[in-house]
Amino acid sequence: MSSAPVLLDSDTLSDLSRGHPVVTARATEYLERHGRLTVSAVSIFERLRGYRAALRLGKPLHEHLRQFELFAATCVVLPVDARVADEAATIWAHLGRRGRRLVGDILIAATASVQGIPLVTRNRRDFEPMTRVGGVKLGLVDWHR
Amino acid sequence: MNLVMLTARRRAEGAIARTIRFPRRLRERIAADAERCGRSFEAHVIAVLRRHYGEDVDIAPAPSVIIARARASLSGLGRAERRMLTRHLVEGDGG
Repeated sequence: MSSAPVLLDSDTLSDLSRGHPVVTARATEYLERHGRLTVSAVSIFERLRGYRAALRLGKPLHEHLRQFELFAATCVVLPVDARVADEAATIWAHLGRRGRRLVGDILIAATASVQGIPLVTRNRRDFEPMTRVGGVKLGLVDWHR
Repeated sequence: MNLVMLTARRRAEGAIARTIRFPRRLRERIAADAERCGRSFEAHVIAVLRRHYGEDVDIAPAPSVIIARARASLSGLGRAERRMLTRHLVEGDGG
C-alpha cells in the first residue's frame, strides 16, 4: 500500500461501516500507517442528515448517531471551502446531465483534486468522467479488491 | 503510543501517526510527573508537547477502535434504514 494519504468517498465509508472484509483490512492497514482516516465534510453531512431525518421519524437511532459522531471525531474531515467550490464548479460544467446530478460526488472529487490526494472509491463509473476534466488532478483507488 | 499532530496544513495533508518508545528511566520520570499533575501518562505527554510546540497534538485511537465505531454506526439496522443513512447527496434531493 502507498504511504500517501487518501480521501475515502461515501461508498467506501459505508462499506467500512457495513463490515466489508476487504475494505476493513485495507482501512486497518492504512490506519496503522496514518493514524486517521480522511473523509470529506460532504460524507459526514450525508450520514448526519440520514440520522437526523430518521430520528425525526421516531426511529431509535440515538446510539448509532453517537457512534458515528465518535467515529467522525477520529477522522481528518476536509472542508468544502472556496477552492473546492471553484474546482467543483469546473467539474460540474464538464459533465453531462446525469453526472451533474451527483452534487455530493462532485464536491468530494473536487476536495481530493484540490488536496492532490487520491480518492478511494468503488464507483469508477461516476468518478472516471471527472478525472478527464482539464486541470483536475483526480486519481482513483479501489479498496474493494 | 500513537501521537498525531494536526496543524492546519497537516490536516489537509493527512495526519502522521508514529509509535513512540520511551527509555525506562524517562518513562518513570514522565509517569511520576504525570501523577504529580493529576494526569494520565498519555495526557501528560500531550500536555508537554502542546506547551512546548504550541501545536494541536492528539492521540489517535487504535485502528480496531476506529473501525468498531464505524461499524457500530450501522450495526443491526435493516436494509431500508441503512439505505436512508447512506444516501448520496444528489441534485433535486428533497428527502
